[in-house]
Amino acid sequence: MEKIKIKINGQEVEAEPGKTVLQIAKEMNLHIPTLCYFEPLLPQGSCRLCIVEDRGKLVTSCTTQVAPNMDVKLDTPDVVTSRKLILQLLFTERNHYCMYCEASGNCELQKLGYEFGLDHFEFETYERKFSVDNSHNYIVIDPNRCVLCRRCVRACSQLAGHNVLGEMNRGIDTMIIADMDIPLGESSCTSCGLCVQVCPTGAITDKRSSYFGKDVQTEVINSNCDQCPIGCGVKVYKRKGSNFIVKIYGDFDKENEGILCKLGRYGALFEEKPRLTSPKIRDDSQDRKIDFDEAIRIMSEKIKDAVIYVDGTLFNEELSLIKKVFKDRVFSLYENEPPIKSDVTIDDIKKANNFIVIGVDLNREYGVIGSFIKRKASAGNGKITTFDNNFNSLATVSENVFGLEELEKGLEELKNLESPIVIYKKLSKKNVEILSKYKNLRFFHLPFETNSIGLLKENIKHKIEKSKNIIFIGKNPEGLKEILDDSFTIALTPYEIEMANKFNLLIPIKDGFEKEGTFYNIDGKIVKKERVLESKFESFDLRTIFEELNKVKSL
Amino acid sequence: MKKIKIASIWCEGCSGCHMSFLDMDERLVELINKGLEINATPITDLKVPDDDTDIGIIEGAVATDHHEEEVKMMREKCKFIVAIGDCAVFGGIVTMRNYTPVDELLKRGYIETESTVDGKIPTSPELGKLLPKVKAVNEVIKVDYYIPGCPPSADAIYHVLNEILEGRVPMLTGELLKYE
Amino acid sequence: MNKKILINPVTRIEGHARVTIFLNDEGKVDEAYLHIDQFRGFEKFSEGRYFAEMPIITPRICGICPISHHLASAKATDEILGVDIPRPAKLLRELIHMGQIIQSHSMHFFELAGPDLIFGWDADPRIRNVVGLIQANPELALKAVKLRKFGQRIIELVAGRRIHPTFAIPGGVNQALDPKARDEILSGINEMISYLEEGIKIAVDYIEKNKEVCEKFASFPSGYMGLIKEDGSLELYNGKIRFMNRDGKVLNDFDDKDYLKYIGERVEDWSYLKFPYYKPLGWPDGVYRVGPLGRLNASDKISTPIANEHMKNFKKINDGKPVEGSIYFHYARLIEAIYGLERAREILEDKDSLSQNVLISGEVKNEEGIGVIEAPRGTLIHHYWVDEKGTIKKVNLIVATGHNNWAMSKSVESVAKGFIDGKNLTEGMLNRVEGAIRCYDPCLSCSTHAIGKMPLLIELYDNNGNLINFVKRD
Repeated sequence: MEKIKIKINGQEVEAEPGKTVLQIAKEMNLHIPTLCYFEPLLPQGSCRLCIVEDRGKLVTSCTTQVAPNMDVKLDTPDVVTSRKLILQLLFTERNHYCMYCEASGNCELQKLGYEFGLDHFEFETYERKFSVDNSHNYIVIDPNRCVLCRRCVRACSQLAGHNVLGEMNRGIDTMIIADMDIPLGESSCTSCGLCVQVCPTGAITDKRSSYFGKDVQTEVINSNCDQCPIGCGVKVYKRKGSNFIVKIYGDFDKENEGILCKLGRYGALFEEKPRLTSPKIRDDSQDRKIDFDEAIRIMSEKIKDAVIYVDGTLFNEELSLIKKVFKDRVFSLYENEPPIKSDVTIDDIKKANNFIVIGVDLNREYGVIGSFIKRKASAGNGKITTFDNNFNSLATVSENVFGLEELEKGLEELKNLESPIVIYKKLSKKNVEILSKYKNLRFFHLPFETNSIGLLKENIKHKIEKSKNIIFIGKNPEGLKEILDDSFTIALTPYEIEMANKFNLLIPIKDGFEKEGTFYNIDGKIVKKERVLESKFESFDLRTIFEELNKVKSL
Repeated sequence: MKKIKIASIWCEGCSGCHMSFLDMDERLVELINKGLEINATPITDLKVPDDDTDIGIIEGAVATDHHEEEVKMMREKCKFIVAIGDCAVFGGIVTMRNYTPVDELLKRGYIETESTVDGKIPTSPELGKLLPKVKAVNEVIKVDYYIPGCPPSADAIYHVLNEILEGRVPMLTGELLKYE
Repeated sequence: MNKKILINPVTRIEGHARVTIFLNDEGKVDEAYLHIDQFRGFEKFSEGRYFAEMPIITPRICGICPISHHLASAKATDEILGVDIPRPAKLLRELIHMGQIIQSHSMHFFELAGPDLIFGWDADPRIRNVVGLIQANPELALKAVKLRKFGQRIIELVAGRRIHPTFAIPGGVNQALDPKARDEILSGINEMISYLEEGIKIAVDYIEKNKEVCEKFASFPSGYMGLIKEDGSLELYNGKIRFMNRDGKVLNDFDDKDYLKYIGERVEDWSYLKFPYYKPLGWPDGVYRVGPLGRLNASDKISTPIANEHMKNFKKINDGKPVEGSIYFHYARLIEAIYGLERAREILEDKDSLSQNVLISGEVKNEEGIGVIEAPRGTLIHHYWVDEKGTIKKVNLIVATGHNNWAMSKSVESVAKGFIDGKNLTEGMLNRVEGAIRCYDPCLSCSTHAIGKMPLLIELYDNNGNLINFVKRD
């Protein structure tokens, strides 16, 4: 397409048609202050701080597309006076007192105040009070801090596809609301937390990380989430010089486009279960703490003919180490073979228009995949069909909803759809057969555990059988329930286990942000989770445990 | 160098700004040696500023009828008025009481609070009357300079006083301009 | 014929108050009132906020002891989370508390009250202040400045800034200690102790030379209250609350969670500051004093060596019985400041103080939280009620200066009766009245208010409101 010649601050530039003045100015490294503008969201020009002067007229640069003969000036006295007036109005409209605000230091409104040297109010201070919505487990909405930029509303629909947030009333009385104006905690919110991430002020904040630290007091570690096999790109904010994480944000430059789910943003920050803080032995139905050397000695005696069970929470490095030491005695405690192999990737999902979801609620697990298909559906360029026997919250955005036993009937109705992608986790044998009959389908399997694919790559197969000595390595030992009765069982695990009475020896291993490692994501690509924290408890990595074992008894 | 006579008061504030003033530490001694003359303030026993006071520093918002009288008195006595701290400059955290009618505030404070026994709302004429709405100082009198911050840093206060002593108009930029 | 004297504002106290004194026909003091004149409504306007904001909101009650509110509030919020915070976090919280004790006590002695002792009650008010001190004894003044700075610097180094830091949060603190900061603080402690020893010398000299005045000046029996360690020694951060009666008998060492059972607050029409008392004894028998005098009286000893040596001398003043003269507050204050420095050293020499594990996060578990701490001026109580999501439903605060409200009024009355002659009013007489209040180092912005400045005009009125005499200070 032919480029358009325009002038910005007297400088001639050739601009691509369709681009906005703001985008061109950014490309030229010229600064235009913004507030409601947020890169991945559609611009709306409501805050009006980004105004510039074009041939004597003030226009919002975020919504004005380049046009021939434009002669744009960014900082004329008229522009600056108007911006200052807008700021005065914004600051006095509601309660924008920084001193006790969680967002102080990160707040974009505050930064604009500093940029324009605002040192007093020219209007009377606010009078209206709005009640704070604390009803949600993770998120606080304080409308008193809101500048009505609608970034949260746009992010919730355009990016995350949840369509929970909206607004009511008009003008300065506008309120950001959840669903039909019910408390956020009672709404259909999936706790993805994207609204917190995009809010420029303290209007939407994160409960857990309140006052944990400003961005300048943190270091940001780029990592991948290991809560599920999607392996979303995350930015982990760690307080400098201290051993805790302030918050986890989604990485806008990665495949997940900044979106996370409840597990990735919040789940990873709460200890799900109490941590195992020392090696423990159970004799005469009593738990007794022992030291590491003793634990290693006991383990060494049981190791010879033990069967080793692992789960999919282990990283590639750990799996290959275990495999090297125990060879063909290693089994996956859980199913890891997909019922039908995937033939598409996340990228294909983003491009596709038709989705068939079988037996999985994508608002509760694999949430980011849910976002990708829901936002298509709500934008009117995607159709979702859901098959499930349980309550499935995707039903509300699905074009068709069927029971699992209606698979054949449903697929028959859908057979004219253009290459729909089937999204599934488990499938019955019968349904596998039915699905294989339809040649227009594409398949996207959701692996059961974070590193299920890694288990397959290491050729660790699923099997459960009784054995005299059992060693479990991982986080989720529930699968062992039936076979544990008379075995001597050792668990290398980070948590206090509920069924501890079935175990004879427990050795704590590192968990979560205390360890680093790679795993295979849903697309089969290797991604890395970075170490962020020091372990607060006595815990060990597998390498150390095996090295020590080797000293006692050659492995 | 010309002497600069300053006076200060605090209205509806927490005195944190005055503490930040003292946080100039040795630089306060330096300013005094340079010609800063400290007239009536809460740390001295002079109760009324002299008529030829150059700078009147006001901490705190205007919340009672007494405060209104006092800031007006400061305006009369002082050539320049400096509003110091977020309460004086913007109204600050105490404006949160604007949300609630005065009698409800007093009821909570003097009758309902759990440790209060046989409470009543004090009504003595010696006590100031709460205004229905807490105001920033510039809603009551003309203010010449502003030092926002909760509290403003000692550096910001030093900068402003030093600029005035050196005969320049004070401007706050960079790290000196903060609202928290 | 009733005459009224008004002192407004009372200066060199942290906050403002006014005093009215009613004279009888002979010009003798009939009644005296200390009016404390502020209500800002923190208890009410915090309702509806998310509880984690409280440690950031409540320090704005007072810029002189913001750390006390910050920490009492954080302790209450820990309880809402139902967590036992990591030991390193406890140490760092206590460390900034010591910083505040050092700065607040030093400032009060040298910069606010000291001028009375050094220049005399009747000295010219134009020099009877810290600026006068800078001119009269620059060396001592500089030490005073340095002491205050040292305390503030501890807070700055550990918590990020001197006034209103964001540091203690539900579950711990948000910043581990930088080893460089530790070294800087440790290297200054001995010098600061030597400055305080000089201050103690000034106080002791004054007391010895003015024995009679000290015994007479606002001296009266009362109960005493303060936190104690398990062995009965002085505690400022976390412990049981001890209540001692006027004879020096320990009536109770109660858990801070039970404060409502033991402390009631009475309202008087003439003050916005309530009057707490020990409930089991009732009003007015249950009145008591807190702060440095209350704490040293209530505790048996001090856990650090240098401060404990001074404590032994303090206990000798009244042969082991509670010390009653309000002027001894100044002495007690300096002893506590030394404890602050010694305790800061203990904390910094503990290896846990450098641990990076300073925070545990959690979710709301309890719908009520109580945090109690010894602020420089006395016991400070924060009590919050929240819903299951952490929304503040109710707030009850009893601030340090409040506990001394009765004692301050009593002191004003006692000194007014002892020193004021309505027929020959002098400024010095009135300064003594203010001085009695100053003993308690009241932080009225905490308790209350700041009425701001009004002319000091002492006016005597007759019953019909006719002005018959006045003294003006300007």
